[in-house]
Amino acid sequence: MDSTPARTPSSPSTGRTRRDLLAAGTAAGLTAAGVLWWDGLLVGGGPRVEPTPPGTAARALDPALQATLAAVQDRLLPTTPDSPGAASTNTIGYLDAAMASPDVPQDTKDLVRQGAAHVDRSARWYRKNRFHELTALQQDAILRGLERDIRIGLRWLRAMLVLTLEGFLCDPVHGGNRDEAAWRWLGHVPGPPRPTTPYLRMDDLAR
Amino acid sequence: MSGYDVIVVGSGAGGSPVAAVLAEAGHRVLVLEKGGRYQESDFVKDEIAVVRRGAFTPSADAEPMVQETVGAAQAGSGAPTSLFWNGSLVGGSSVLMSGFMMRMKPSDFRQLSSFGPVQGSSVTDWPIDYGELEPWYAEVERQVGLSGRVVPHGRHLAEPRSTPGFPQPPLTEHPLAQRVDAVCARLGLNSVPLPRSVLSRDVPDAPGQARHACDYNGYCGSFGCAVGAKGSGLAAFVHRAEATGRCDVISKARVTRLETDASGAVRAAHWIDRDGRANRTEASVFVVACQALESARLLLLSRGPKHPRGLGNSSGQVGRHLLFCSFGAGWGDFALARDPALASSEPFVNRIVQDWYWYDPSDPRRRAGRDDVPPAPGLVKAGTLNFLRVHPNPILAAVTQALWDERPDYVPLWGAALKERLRWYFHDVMHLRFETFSDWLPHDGCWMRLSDTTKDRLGLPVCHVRAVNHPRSLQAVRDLVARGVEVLEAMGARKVRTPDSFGGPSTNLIAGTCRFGDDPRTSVLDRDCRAHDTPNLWVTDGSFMPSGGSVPYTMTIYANALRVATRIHETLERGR
Repeated sequence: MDSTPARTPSSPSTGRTRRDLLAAGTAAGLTAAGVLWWDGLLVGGGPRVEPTPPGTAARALDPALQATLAAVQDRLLPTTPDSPGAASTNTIGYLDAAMASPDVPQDTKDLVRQGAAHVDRSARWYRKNRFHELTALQQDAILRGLERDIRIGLRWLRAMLVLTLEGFLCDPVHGGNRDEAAWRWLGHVPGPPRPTTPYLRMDDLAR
Repeated sequence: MSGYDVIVVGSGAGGSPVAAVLAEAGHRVLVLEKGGRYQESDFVKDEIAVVRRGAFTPSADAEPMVQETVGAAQAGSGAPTSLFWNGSLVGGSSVLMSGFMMRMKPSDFRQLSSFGPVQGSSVTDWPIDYGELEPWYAEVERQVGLSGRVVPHGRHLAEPRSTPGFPQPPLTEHPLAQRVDAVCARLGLNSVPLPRSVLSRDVPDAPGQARHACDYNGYCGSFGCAVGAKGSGLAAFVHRAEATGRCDVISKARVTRLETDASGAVRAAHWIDRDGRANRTEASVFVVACQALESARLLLLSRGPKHPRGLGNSSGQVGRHLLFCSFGAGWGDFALARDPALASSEPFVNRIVQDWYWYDPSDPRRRAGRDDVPPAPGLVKAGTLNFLRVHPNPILAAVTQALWDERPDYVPLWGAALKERLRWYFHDVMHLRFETFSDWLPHDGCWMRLSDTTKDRLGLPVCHVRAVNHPRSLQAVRDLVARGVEVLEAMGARKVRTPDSFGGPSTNLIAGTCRFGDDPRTSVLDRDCRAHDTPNLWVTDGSFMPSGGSVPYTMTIYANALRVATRIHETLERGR
């Protein structure tokens, strides 16, 4: 297994006030990576997402957020020389579409963004600014730390896993599972008829 | 829009047979369906759209219901829920069913007499017996086109039949079916072929639209069938009704109220069309069949001068005796390296075991499958074990493998460990699963009423549901699951597991709420499913059922709808 946790930092130095720490600590406790989960919410941080300019395709993720989430997905479902993974099947393409879909609950979307902000902040522990700049071992250490935060970190990890597996094994019409590589790897045979458009609301078809 | 003899509210398993029978008998029929209409080519096998986003089911935002949370035996938080929606489209949720078509047994029609009273339960006998419904079961087999095979089994288990067999030969089966047969023979149990409303042969001359034999892609449950093999209300009855030229089906038409006159009879249906316009349409006869919860809701919303508490509700019975099925499951796997014969892609196992349809909790030898144990007071009703392959949905499988681990703290699998698990799941093993259809005793703690707090977008109170199982039924399903686990283990399945909790409501099997009976003080409908207090109102979905047996309801809903349709026809003829 290639996800052995690295040595975990044990004391945060995020420069926040004692009041912030207390409030955040009460809310969710310290994660093993040493960064408070809710700090972004409590001190007004978190990623700032620019609105999509008019006339462009509706996409939910700006490049920075996309880089972070793609890096997370790559650790959840790593690509190897002999098997497809998140990166090789473009699960981020699916996630981008899902984050723009009215059929994905808003609290799921909020959770995804909050988690991304959190793992980016956690990168400071390794003197980097962004999660995707870390080594695989460092990334895994941060994600392993989240497993121990049962209230929120684990919830985010589960949500990301679900969204990543959806992107991995969906019909390619939804943006993931590029070239049906995940289906071919697992010997899965899709049923007919296949979707030809990525509509998530069948109502658009209904008479 | 006028000139209709009959208005049917809902086009699913309860409404579509009525529309077909009455239109073929020469009556002018209008079907109002709140869901949309789809072509067979629209029934894509898209797990994201259909399953994970629930494309055919209303969202809790758009069409909420409210579920009361009581105890631990049911899901839900008291917040708006979409849990009880199973498909809102022409053909109803039958379009998305698996098509397990089991008859109820004679003792199910006299559950009170057969098994005696149960403390805290409102269990009762049906006003009709098995013999009265049997010809209509046979009609369903013929008209819907059931595939299956009749085998002699358990003296008390095999339902009496007026026909020798099914109109369609059995579907091709996975080798696991023979394994179930073999282990049951060894254990002294009855392995019975499960009838399916899935065609094994083409029916090119089906009225309205040809139906084709199953293509064995395995995507039955949750998905629509694109070849007409599945005997949904759409494939089996809606096309037939329309082919007469006397039936109009209007989709995206939501009925908000049935208007009654000073005599107490229904005069008109009020409905909102797809463009939001209000309509009022008159007819002679009104048939409500929009699933047990929504049918009860429509009756309660339809107050009138003679019906201050709603239609059919003179005795305050509408919404009571709500029924589900007691859900339980278990699964295990077989290593293909040791058992390569199981490496088959055939989707169907189609085996049921009903040996614990009733049983003695204190004596394992006393169970329904034994010829010397007839139904008797003191025995407990459990139900059916249905053996099936795990659903082919790959995302469901992968998410289950990642997030449902044997470790109690539920830390999900990810990284290389997850990939290894996926490779194992899809390549190294064959999975066999069982699900229960176990008795759900009616009782006063399980019901629906109109919500005091939550309204839909039209300002109408939504369904408030209290879905609580009776302790006796909970115990029975626990025992039944334990027996299912024993069968899997006797087959040599490894890693046999069950869900963390079971006994909760099977939200795709909903009945009760408008019980039929001979006494207007204790029932909503008479034995012909006509409202005791409203002469031209019938209810033909699962609402009428006083008890559910221990099988899926669709077979009985279809059969009863055909039976009631002939009664409605007779009534209309007398009025001419």
